[in-house]
Amino acid sequence: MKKDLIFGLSLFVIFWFYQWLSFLGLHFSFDPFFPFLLGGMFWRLHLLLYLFLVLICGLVVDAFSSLVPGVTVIAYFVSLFIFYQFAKKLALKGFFPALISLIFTIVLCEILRLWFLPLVFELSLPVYSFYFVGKFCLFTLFWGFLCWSFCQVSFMKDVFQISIKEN
Amino acid sequence: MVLIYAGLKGPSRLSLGERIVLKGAGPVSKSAALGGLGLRKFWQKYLFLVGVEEENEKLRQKVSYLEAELARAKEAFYENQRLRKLLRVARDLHGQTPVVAHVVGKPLGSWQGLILIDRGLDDNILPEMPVLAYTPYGPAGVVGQVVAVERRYAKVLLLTDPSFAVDALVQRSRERGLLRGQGKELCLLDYVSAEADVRENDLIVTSGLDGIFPKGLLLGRVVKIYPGRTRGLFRPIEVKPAVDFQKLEEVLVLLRVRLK
Repeated sequence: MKKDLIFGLSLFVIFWFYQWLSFLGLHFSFDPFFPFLLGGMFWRLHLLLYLFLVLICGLVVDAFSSLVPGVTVIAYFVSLFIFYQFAKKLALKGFFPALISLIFTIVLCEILRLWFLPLVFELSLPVYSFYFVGKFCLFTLFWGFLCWSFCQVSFMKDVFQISIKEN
Repeated sequence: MVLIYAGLKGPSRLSLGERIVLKGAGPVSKSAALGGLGLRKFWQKYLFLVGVEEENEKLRQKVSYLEAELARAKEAFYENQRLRKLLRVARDLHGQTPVVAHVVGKPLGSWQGLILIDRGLDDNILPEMPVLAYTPYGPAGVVGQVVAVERRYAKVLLLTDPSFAVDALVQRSRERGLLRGQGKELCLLDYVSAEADVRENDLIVTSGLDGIFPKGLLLGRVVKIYPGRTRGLFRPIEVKPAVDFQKLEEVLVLLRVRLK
């Protein structure tokens, strides 16, 4: 219950701070929610609550940034499912598999969200769309590493716990 | 899929999920906006006071209370000035009814140029309505267009978004083209003949032919003209928007709908 509350509150604070910094004149090209949602997968939250929070985060991003509804929701769920497969099937044995799965999932999510799904729904892309998507992937990865560090106790520990259990 | 279907069914109407989320996240974003803007203004004032402090330490201590009061008064003055400018813009728009709205949300991790304003259906705002703001060049500048509305909030597609396009004129030579967003605080004036008379720093205004934006609204200034026939018969021209989107705090929504 406490973990659920902390996780939900953290997402709320992330949203508030992202907007606050934007209005402060500091705009950051990264996905504020996804890396934290990835980290949250290892917090062993109540499944329904976790899925509900993922849905809310996707809806918030769509409501604030997308012309087409649902793009972020789909991207988040697909990417989280793939990350779950990494965690389950590969058991993220060691630091590098965990890191590579993090990089792969973030890049996949951002490509889906910012490039592939908008193309499917016939939205116009900026001229240098690859540059934009690349920039978002890079900065989201930085944010991902930060989340990783912040969630070290519950996230990294749990990653290694899984590998220990598997071994 | 339900979310997408609901959105595609009526693109100008927000989906149920988004409407619910906006009701909850709108006030949160508004509080972040007020907090961010407040701190930015405080920071600017603080830096200003540090400069004074270095020059005039003793005087600053004596009048610190008065300065704080003055800062507050200045804040009210600046707000008043901004609103007066908006009023001037409103007066220029003969016969148009404008509604002043505050920007309460900025894009969350996306290249799309969308902002959220704190006026919606309750204030008679509808999709496709033009959104304007004051510009350093003087007259009303185009910010974008309302794309979706909720009771108290509306989503505005900015001029710089790649999905945005408006019929435009070069003010000096009356050459016509289509202004499209480029996604990085730049726009492209397309379909302008390679032989057209266009120079750097020419002002670009709306032509009024699209039936959405009134004629003569400022769009931006020519910053770069690509040499030769870069795109067949046409010569693309880079335009910098007249409105500074980073500093956008208040906007005017014209209560004007396209006749179909």
